[in-house]
Amino acid sequence: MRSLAVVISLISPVLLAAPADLALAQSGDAGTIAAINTASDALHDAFAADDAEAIRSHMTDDHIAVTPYYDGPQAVDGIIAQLSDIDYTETIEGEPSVALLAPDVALRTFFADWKGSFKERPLPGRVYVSEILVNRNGKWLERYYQVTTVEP
Amino acid sequence: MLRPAVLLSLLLIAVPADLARAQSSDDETIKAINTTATTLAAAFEVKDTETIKSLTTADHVAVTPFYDGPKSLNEEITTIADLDYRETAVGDVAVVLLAPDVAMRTVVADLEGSFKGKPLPPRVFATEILVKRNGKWIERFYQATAPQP
Repeated sequence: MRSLAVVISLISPVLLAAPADLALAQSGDAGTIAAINTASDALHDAFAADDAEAIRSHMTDDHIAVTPYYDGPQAVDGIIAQLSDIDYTETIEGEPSVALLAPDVALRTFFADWKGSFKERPLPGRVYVSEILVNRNGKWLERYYQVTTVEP
Repeated sequence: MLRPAVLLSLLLIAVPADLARAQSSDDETIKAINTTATTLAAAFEVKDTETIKSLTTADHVAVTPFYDGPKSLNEEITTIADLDYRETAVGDVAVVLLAPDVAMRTVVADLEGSFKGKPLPPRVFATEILVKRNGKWIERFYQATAPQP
């Protein structure tokens, strides 16, 4: 789900050229996209540091996360309560794509490789991640997070 | 000039009426969103590509455990012959308006069928992002996640 160690971005021209990735190509102005990426990176860093308060500060109160390893969709409290059960690293492939769906709503997507475990069960290796971010009072917050296992 | 008491009375009458209109409008919006989503799911079941195209954006992307990575609309259409798909919603469907013209619909669904001969995961949690274009709700993004066995 989140980088608990080091997030390494690897530029992958092949993935960047994939048709579906092109469909989610960058849209919107550069400043807005930079702010969205900064917010998302800060949330990843908060997970890496197991910093529950920082995690909350970068999410909406009604945030939901869906992953293959959780037992169903998780609210913020559920995510925080299970932080100590996650042990893994995430490597993002290429640059995340950001699409503005509305001035205050963004869809950010990327492929990632995971290593580690959740409650001592191995995590899926390669995943596709989508994040919905919303702008609230001038600050981008994550509203939704979903992960799907894809074939390696 | 209206006295304060009269003004207050008018406000008390006006606020509930506005709330009622807002609720009614939201109900209609959610109904329209659900109609689009269920029609689209049915179109995939019967491989009705024209309906699929009419209810998705040109830059639509679908991510599922059975596709080999995210698929563009064109890829979904060209591989539809490989898809034998039946979906049954389980429990409540949730619709949240993220903006006036952007909605997120989530559903737990039981799947039956196969893709390229491989069985579909029996249960998924699916998220649909719909956008309103020219007064019509259409799907922009679809992602399904299967729990680890």
